[in-house]
Amino acid sequence: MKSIYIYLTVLVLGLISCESIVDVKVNETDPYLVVDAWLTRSPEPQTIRLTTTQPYYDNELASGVTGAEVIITDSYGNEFVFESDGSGNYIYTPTDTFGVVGNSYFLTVTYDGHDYTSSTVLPRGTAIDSINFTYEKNVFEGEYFYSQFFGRDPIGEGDTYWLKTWKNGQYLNRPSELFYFYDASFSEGNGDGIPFIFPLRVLANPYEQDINGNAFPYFWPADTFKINPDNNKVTLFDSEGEVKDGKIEFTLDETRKNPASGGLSSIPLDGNPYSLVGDTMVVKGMDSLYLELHTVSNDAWFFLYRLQQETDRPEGFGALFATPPANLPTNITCDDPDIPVVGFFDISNVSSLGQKFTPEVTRYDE
Amino acid sequence: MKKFYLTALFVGLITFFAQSQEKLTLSGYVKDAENGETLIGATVLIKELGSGNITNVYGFYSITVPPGQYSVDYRYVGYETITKEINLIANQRIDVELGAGSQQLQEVVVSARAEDANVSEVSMSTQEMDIKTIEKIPAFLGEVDVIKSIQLLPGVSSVGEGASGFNVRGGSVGQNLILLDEAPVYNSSHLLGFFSVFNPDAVKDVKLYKGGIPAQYGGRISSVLDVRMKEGNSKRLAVSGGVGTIFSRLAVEGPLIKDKASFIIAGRRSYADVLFKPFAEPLRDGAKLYFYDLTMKTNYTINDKNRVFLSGYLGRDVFLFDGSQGFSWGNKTATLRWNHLFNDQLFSNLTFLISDYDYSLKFGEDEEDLFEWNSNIKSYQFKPELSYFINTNSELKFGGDVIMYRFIPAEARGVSVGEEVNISLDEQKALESSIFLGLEQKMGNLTVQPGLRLSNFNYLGGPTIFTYGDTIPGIKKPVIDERESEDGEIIESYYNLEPRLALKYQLDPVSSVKASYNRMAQYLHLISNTTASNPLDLWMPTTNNLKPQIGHQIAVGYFRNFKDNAYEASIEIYGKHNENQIDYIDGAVLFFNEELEGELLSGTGRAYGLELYVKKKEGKFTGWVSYTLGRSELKVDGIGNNDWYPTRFDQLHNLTFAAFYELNESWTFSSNLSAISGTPFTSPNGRYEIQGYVAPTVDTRNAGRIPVTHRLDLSATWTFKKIKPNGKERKGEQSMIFTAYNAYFRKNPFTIYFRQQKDRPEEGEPIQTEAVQVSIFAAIIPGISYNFKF
Repeated sequence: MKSIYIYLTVLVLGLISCESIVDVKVNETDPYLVVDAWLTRSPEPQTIRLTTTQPYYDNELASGVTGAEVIITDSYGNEFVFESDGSGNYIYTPTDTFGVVGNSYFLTVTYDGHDYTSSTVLPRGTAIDSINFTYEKNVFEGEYFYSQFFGRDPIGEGDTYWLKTWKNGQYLNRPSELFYFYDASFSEGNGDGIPFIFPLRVLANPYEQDINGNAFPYFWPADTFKINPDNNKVTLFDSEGEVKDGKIEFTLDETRKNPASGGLSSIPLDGNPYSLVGDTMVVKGMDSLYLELHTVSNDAWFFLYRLQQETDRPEGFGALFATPPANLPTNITCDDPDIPVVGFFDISNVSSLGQKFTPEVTRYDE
Repeated sequence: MKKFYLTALFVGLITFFAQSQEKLTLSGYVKDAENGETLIGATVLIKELGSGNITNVYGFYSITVPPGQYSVDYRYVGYETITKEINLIANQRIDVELGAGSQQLQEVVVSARAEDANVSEVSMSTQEMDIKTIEKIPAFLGEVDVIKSIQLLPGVSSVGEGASGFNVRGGSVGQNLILLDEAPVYNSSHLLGFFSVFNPDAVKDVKLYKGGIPAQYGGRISSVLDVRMKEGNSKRLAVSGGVGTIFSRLAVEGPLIKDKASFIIAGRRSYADVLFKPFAEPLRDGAKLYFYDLTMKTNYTINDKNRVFLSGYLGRDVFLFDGSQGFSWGNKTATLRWNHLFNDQLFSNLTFLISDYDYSLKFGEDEEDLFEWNSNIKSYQFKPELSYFINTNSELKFGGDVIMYRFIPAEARGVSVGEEVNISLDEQKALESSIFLGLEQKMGNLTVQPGLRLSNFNYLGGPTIFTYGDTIPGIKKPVIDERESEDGEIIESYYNLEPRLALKYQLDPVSSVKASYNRMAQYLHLISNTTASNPLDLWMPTTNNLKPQIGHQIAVGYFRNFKDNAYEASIEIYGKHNENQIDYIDGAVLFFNEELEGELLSGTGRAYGLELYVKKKEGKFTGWVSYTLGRSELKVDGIGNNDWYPTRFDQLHNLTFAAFYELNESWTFSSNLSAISGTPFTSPNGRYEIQGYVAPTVDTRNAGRIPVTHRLDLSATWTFKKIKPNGKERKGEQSMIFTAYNAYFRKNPFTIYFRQQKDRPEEGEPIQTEAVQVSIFAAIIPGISYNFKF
């Protein structure tokens, strides 16, 4: 839905609405405990981070809470003690894979004389089958490749997911890159036991901007550029460009008035994965994508949905269609109901898949 | 049904009583001599008695007096008064055509009412706007607009620039009943709210009831906007239209059968997509962005006692990213009316109407992966209404209303890699019916208008019926029981008695005090939790879980005219108390959610305020000053600390100046200047890190205030001279309108929101959080349009 408003913003009102950063006084509250406890079913060290809330404009890292006792127990009476590293992180290193599907886990954080508790159930997992890169040409973005991942939601309603994505080793962590879904679709009751629907399959396509604010295409295969060493000319799709001043400059296609370079008239060469060494363009390597599909609890899914609502607010004209800001839910409770606490406890079942942009996984559907 | 018989009996008794007094009736229609349009609200005054009546919405009047020799004035603002000498020895039918006045008045008509209606009529809290006034108000992009115009009146506001719909006395957008020739319009906006669906070329009269709502209206608790269409010129073929910045208009009207039948057909279409096609590649590739509407009406006078009207509206907004993907929405209405005179004193109107609003979305380029969604609300309505003109002091109105609703929240399917899922939601049906009785009785200086409406709403079977359990307010209610229901079974039935009362006490010929009370029930709910409403908002019926909204309003006012009615002034105070107001749990999912009722919260609303209005009606310089001091608040279990909080459209002060100046025959200038206190926003009171993101902790809802909004809009109208430079007379009327919206480049804030930095956070670096102020119109917006009338 959001994309509709974005298109409308651009097409109808992009020119007349405007935004400015303003200095607005906001209230402050006394700091209270934040429990950031997102664990995964894996053999890796499990970390729970304890911090406190900060004033809204306090643009500093939150300081860690030390001196707490952090313990998880499961429905079989097993106890996992998380050790403090002195910076607010509490770590448990499993000897084998942490967690059993279907087990309940109970978190207790003892801090400042109070018990903060929570519980969750470790859900079943779902595998990512494959990733490919598909060629696309459209009038809004020009020519580019986008990634698609494939998988099938298992039969039975209520599998909820958090998809974490990495491009070329970079974790995609902007609020707009927080991806969560319900069964094979966006929300409850809209598609169970089917392949993940198209809009989900194409989530992992970071839309980057170059230093001039121009849109940068999603993915580049290693063999996209064809360089003629004799005259320094570069061929990209069906357009020709020239290496000049650290950029590849493209000639506009007269008939379409649109460069065939994914909407750019030039591409900076220091962007991934190409760079210019002397006069020679060096292909650093092909783009790659790494995905982690975390099956989280339904409540955690709702938390992620709310987290994005509060951190990725509609901009410009889209502000007309914003929902009222409100507190995120939490599944942590304090034994004294008058003491506030925020945060979330979840154990996810994770599967992952990485893929380099090679010819074998490149599709030209058109 | 029993109540209906009682009403009929009551009416019968009054008829008997009235006739036993040996009185005679003078009745007929008052029309415009130039185009044959009936005149609404024209005064018919019997000079000897100093009393009379005004014409109703169909231009009909009826006066019952003792036999005698009378001289009767037929008056209408801006028209020449006609005096008829009548020797009333038998019931007499007199139809009168009034000619436009020779003085400059015609161009400065501000209200289509009797000259002293402000003071003399019992109705209060109502605003009428004649289309000529609406045409003069400086408009956004030069496009005349009914809904933007009424926002300049006291008690009427919007959530901010660019927002669709309007708020009346602290009520929400979904609490206004918007009628186009009696058909409810479920979404009154084109282009997400920049323009309204009413084509000014086809509009005759606009009346807004903010309070003291008469018994014949019901169904929404905040206001009634009654838009009446023109009937079409019955004298000659006339063509009018215009070429504007955004759209062009053309209207054709004329007689079909002389003095018997006429028609009007008026259309508009935006053409940005046509104009920009050569420059914008997406448009050549199948992308579409336009809207159109078509308004039609025809009428046929069968004989002296019978007249039928057929009117219709069809409008659509279309937005496609390419040939097959995108969305569209639109209204369709059709109204068939039959005016019948049982006798000279008993006027009746029977209406059948259909109103339909739908939207559809489609994504996906091929059959392997796609998403389609259609949503629709349809209503079928039957509405008999009778007016009984008992004598010059009493008029009785009674009738009923039956509405059948069909709601299709989602007829939708998704296809993923060739596998299809049906994600449609159940269709819902409901039946709303009501009967009403309203009396207007003059007793010397006092006029009373009591009324009573009995409404009933049945939520009908068909869909799955859910029962929800209790939980902590503010989180989703769990389903504890669900069952299938039989088609047509009554799931839940509600009755509401809606008393109405209006009083007027005439202090002296130029001033009066008025008071009113109304209780209203609303059975349809506009489900919307965004700042401004949008075309995808759903209308939802009252169900076994969702209670009808109930509104109470009390208003008192003082009304005074000055300088022989050249100036009119009023001051009103109102107070409102609303029950079963809807709000939403945090993160409520409003679409494709069969358990949506579990995510709705219920609360109480209150609004109170003061309205001042001074209008200059005559002379070269006309205009008005409108000021509203108001509060609008909600108290909902599950929001904040269950305390009162201001609504998103709460504005303490709202001051508007509208001024029109007629320089000479060629040039007219208009301006409006408004200053409005800031609407609320919600701010954070802290932040915390979680999983690499920074989440806000949120303060009380709507506790912050954006800065004051103020804006000046200007326009100049240049009417082409009647005599061309070559000495020949120009045919018809032609004019150019130049407008400047937001004339002094003010960047008015729409909202302030808080967000995490847009750049990608760096590992180990703190994340910035910031406050952002949004202005929807950050520049002057010029407009130019050319209008003609032949």
